[in-house]
Amino acid sequence: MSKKSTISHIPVGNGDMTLMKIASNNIYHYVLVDMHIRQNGESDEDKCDALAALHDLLEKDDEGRPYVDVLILTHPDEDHIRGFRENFHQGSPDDYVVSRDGENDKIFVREIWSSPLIFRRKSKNNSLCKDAIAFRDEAKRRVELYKTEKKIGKQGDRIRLIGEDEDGKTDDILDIVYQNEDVIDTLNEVYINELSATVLGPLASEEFEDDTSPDKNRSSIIIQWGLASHGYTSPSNYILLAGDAGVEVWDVLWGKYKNNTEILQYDILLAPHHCSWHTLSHDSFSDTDNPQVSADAKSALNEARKGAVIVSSSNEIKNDKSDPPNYQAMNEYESITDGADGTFQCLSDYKPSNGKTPEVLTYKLTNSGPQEETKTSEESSSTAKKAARTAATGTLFTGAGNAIGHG
Amino acid sequence: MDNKQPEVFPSIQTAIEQIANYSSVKRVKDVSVEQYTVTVETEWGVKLPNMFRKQGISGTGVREVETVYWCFPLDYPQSAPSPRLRPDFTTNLPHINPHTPGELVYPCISESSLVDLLHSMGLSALLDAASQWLNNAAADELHCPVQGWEHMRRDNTKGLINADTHAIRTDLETSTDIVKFYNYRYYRLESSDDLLMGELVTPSLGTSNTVLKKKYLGVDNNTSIRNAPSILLRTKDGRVFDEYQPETVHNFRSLRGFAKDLGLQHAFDARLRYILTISSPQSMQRQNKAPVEEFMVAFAVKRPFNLIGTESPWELLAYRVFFSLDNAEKIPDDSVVLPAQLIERTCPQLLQAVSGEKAEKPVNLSLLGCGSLGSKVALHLAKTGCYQFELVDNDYFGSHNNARHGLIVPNFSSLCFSKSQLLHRQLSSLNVGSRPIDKDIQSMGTKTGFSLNKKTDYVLDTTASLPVRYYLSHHCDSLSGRLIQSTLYGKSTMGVVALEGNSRSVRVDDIASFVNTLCIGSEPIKRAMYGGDGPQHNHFGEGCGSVTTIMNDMDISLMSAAISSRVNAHIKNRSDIPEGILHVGTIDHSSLDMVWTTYQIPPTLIIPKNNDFDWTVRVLGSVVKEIEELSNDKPMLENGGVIAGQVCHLSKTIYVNYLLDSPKGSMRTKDKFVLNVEGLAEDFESIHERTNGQITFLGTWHSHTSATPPSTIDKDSLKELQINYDLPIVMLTYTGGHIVRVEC
Repeated sequence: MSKKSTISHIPVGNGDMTLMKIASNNIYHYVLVDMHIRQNGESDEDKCDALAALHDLLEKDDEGRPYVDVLILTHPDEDHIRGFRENFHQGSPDDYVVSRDGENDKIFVREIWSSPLIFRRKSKNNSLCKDAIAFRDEAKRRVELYKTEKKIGKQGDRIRLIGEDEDGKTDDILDIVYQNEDVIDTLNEVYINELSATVLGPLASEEFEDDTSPDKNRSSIIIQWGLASHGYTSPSNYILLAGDAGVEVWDVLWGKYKNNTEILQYDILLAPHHCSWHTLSHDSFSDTDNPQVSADAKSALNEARKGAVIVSSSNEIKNDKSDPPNYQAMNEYESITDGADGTFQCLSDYKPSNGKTPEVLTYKLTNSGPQEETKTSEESSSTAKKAARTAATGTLFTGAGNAIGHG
Repeated sequence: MDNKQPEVFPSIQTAIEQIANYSSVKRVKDVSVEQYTVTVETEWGVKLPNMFRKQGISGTGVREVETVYWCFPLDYPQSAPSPRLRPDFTTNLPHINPHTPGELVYPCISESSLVDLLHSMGLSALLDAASQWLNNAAADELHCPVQGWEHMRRDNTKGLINADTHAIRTDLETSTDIVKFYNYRYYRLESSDDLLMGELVTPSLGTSNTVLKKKYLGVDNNTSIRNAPSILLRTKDGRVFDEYQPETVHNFRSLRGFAKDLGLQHAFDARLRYILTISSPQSMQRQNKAPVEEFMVAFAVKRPFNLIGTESPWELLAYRVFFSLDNAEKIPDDSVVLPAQLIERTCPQLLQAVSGEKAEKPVNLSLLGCGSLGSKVALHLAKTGCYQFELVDNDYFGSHNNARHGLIVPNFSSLCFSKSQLLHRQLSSLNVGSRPIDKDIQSMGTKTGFSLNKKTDYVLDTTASLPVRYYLSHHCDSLSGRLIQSTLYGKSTMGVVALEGNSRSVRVDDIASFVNTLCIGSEPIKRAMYGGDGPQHNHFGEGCGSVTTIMNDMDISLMSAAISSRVNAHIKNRSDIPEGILHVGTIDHSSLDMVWTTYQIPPTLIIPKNNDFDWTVRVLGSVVKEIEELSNDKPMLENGGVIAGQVCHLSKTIYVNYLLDSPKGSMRTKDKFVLNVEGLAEDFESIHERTNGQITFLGTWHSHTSATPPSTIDKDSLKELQINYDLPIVMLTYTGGHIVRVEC
């Protein structure tokens, strides 16, 4: 059975964790965008075990390491990088040690994509959690290695920066910097025929009217992922992932692209900032009598293709004033999806097996756009799942069941 | 479930419950028991792509809820159940089994057989496969460029036509001619039109009408094989037909319509007129020839990506068209046209595809020796589709050869052909190119003998013949390819693959002498080569010349397969490294443990003979390297030791291939090395025993700390060594970065 590209949204409450599994040339390329993995011992039956779910989705390489081809941190807030320090390998690839039992080994990151925020000094607006510090240190290690070696290193030492540093710290490494409107077709130094990902952010501070030092939500990496079905080249799936990009960002993007709206189109939009009201409005939802939606921001987020899904990676959305997730923001998004015959899906509500725990929402990326994946018997059986995971492909009918010999 | 369950076998009842609980099944609507099957009708939820969810039906016509019928044979689980879909389910999709309109549609849900899947992973795997199939059908994902374009579903093919489809497709890539004529030969198995075996003869005759000649057409009186015309029409450049549809052609009108859809109607009509003019029954009768009943029209249709199982986007669709007995100038519109199945002929490309090998152009391999090992190696390599051969052997095949040879030669008429001829015949059945040369190998390059093709890439000697090795080493100056020698020892408990260095910088005789040294340290090698457990011989036939080795086919096949794999791996890697390569494999025939070791041997140092010493000294590259390292380890002290190796009296060659550590007590100073000989005699006694006397004492070596020529002391020492020793003595000096032979 041929491999199919998928996107999996792992339910982590108010946080983001998205894994794209891109099939090309008959192998999968794994792109993890953000993570929110609770610590060991924080078990909660009502919450999805994000780490286990991630390991279930990944393969191991020839050296027995679970790996991702690319890890993207949209911005260094804790709800986007939590769990990195404990669960991902940091340091030289040569120092990786596979555990004896092989269970939940640290995940090996072949290439990192980071915003230039890693170069920013600690400040009131730029305090980092422990996981973000670990990520920054790892990213810096890779940048320094690139500067020393003056060439792209081996897997595990590679890094790309999304956007230039405003203080000139990327001036001497522009070869590994993607700029806004660059179209990316390469992951971990492998050309992907099916990929055309357009960089939309982070935006430079001069693009904002007030031109102040940007906070982290202004500095999120924003990428429109164009993905063709395996073996094809014309994208038939558009996915917009924008971290916590706030209303000012969407205002600017609409100003830039209102005459070129294709660049903003999506079949799947991960509602920015966990369905926050501040993505759509400049007004405080709780402190303003009649908070208004920014017409520009909503227009920028309104480029839904037919059947589009807006996914809220958040806690359950209650009809109260909490934010994020915000009930009124959900209504705004639903007005968008209604107009496109689409749907709005909060991950905390995604329980297709009718259990208490939200489940991973996976879409196949097909010739006809995204298609929700059916749970197979293999996926619902834990032993079969283990067998499939250790097999290289992870596709159906491999790695589990009696061996079929040959004559 | 809606109705009361009819009586079904418990195993099927359990399966029905499993189906009812399957995640995609909304409900089991009905269970019907018939004479041979139990059919379970289900409502099946399909995940439509997001863009079609509101409408409830996909762009390909798949509904949000489909009826899926599971047909259980009564001997389930011995046999597998299979799914069916509603009769009006769209059939313009790939991966649907042959279908009759009005009947339930049978999707092809798995590449492996359903019964294998059932016995491998259980019923759930079949349910998963059906679910995946429907979801993929809804998303227009049944076609996958990685897997390939599904061949047109043709539910009613009549006739099997053998054709070199690879050659035809290659021709399509290189030529833009819209029409090509071919000879179409067929044989009717019965009077019915249905049973027919045929052949589309390649290469094509050409493109102009004149290539189709009357003299080639008609019925062969002896065999009743018909020689009929055929045209292949290819779609025009730049046009790609990316809509999948099952076969629609069933009569001449629909055939012509299909030609029109492909943009080929004009060429079709024009060429048809010519075919009728020269080969219609009426035309044939005018020439007093028995008429042929039919001719062939084939279309080459370009698809958006390669077809499944091929490396070409050209789909070949063949049709059998019948001449009209009433009208010489026309085929009636309602005349039956039968789709015919083109069977891919065995050819190198097919062999490559199936064996997972790839070669842009075939490797030219000259095989010396077509005996048991040679024939098996040749067949293994031939079946990769990557080789073409010259087969050199003048020995004849005898009945006893059937016990171990790669060929089975069954009858009187074939026995006593040369082995090279018989092997050539076998390779021809694979359509692998080969040239038999039933000449004495040692006549290679002579006027009365033969020459190998100048384009030979490799020469593989499998004769295990010492005279052949001698000839190749000492009297064959211009081998056209790199020489590989492969030999079995000890009833096939050991196999050797020796690859000469570039430009013969390391020769097979060097490597063979090195193999002898391996006996010193390896018991399995020693046992295989000189262990006294070597091959027994026996006579088959009259006369003492009919002696052969006693060894069974299994043992020789095990090692010959491994040797073939080694040879193939080398050639595939196309390593042009200057070093010689030696692979030595040993197998324990009781446990079947096989161990292979690889040695890389640097270029040999050749010290030519001269007027005073008529022996050529060949110092193996590994020995040269060791002397250099020992000399340079402490460059301010002279160092030295004992050299050993093999002596060939026939070629007057000395192979220096082994160094012994200098015994304890040897003295090293700035200007002197004194060898302590204590214990050396015992060492050589042991070496002689382990190598059957092949590796013997040759002399000594020592280094100079400065670049000075051999001294008087060196020469005197050499003279002393030569006294009372019946073999030539060699003394080597490492001086000024070089190894030189000390002369008296």
